Amino acid sequence: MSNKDSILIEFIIQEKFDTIFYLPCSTMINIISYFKNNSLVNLIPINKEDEGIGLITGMHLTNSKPLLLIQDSGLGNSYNAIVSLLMFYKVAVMIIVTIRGYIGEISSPNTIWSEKTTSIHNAIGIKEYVLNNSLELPHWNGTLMGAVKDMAINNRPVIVKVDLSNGGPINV
Amino acid sequence: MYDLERMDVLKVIKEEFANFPIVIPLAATAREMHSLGPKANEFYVLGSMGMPISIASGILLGFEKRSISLPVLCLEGDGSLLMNLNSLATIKYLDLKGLILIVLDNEGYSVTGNQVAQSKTINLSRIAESVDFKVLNVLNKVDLDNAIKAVKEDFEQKYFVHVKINNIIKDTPLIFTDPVILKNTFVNYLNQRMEVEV
Repeated sequence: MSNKDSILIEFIIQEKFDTIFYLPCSTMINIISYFKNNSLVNLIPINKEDEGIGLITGMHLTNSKPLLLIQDSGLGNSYNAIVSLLMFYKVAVMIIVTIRGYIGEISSPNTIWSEKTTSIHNAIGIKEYVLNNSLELPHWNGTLMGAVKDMAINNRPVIVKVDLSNGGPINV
Repeated sequence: MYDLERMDVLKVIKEEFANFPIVIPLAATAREMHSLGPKANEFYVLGSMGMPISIASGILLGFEKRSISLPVLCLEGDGSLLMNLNSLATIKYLDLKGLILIVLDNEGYSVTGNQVAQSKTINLSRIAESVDFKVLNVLNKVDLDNAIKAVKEDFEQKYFVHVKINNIIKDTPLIFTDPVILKNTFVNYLNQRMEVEV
């Protein structure tokens, strides 16, 4: 397990997220395995990204603390629900998105997506935070906590993009 | 042409399930339900076609976490259900009990001009059966009354109430309520219900 994995895991525990809905990603395998092997959170696999947006919205309405964990190569499947559900109703939830367009990524469509998501988020107006090799690891937790505060103070959803690979950043 | 009109079904649902959370899909269903007088137990999903079933599932998971045994109704159109069909697999995986999915199936997209939906050529009930829903088929008012009676007798199941309706759309006003107010009204209702049920 890398230091990056440990920071994410500590954050999820510290913030008392009670349910993680996820789609698989090879770079988040250690995080998924960690929570699979204990009962700290309810770990639920889903089939498609927008389904996850609906599920975290429903749980949020009951004052639960869900988290959606997906990769950016599938993020496009969720934008309609992000805008017309999370942003329209001001649903303050967090989506952690692994960046697949890191240097060394073998699937070229992933790189294209990774290069475009920030522009898309700016266009639709959802706040994103980025944890990649441009940000020193000691600052990762502070950025995550800033994202949590943002959700609470501004009552809005946030996206946290995170590069868990060993490669470098594609967007520096 | 099927006997039942959407509005007639909605009137019955509103009256019979006034004490339970109801998630309502966009367009004609939302407008017609809202025109009957919005209630705090109703969450109007004004966009996000296909999402009501996942939202309802999330609410049930929240209840489950608090050991609250309260059913959740979810209204869906046939086109909307087909847009998020994979959600049925998730419901099966989670073995969610207490979900009452009422599908208002007019075999098309009436509100956009009666375009054909694929529901005309497939059997949605058989799909629901394959993921362990208890299916209740409704073709007329007697079927509807019987289905509601069956559901209310046993909330521990998960139901797929498949209601065939015609294409008649009532002339109802648009919903201009602030979406955050719509959400907060429903959240306040849920909080009160959860306090009672704990």
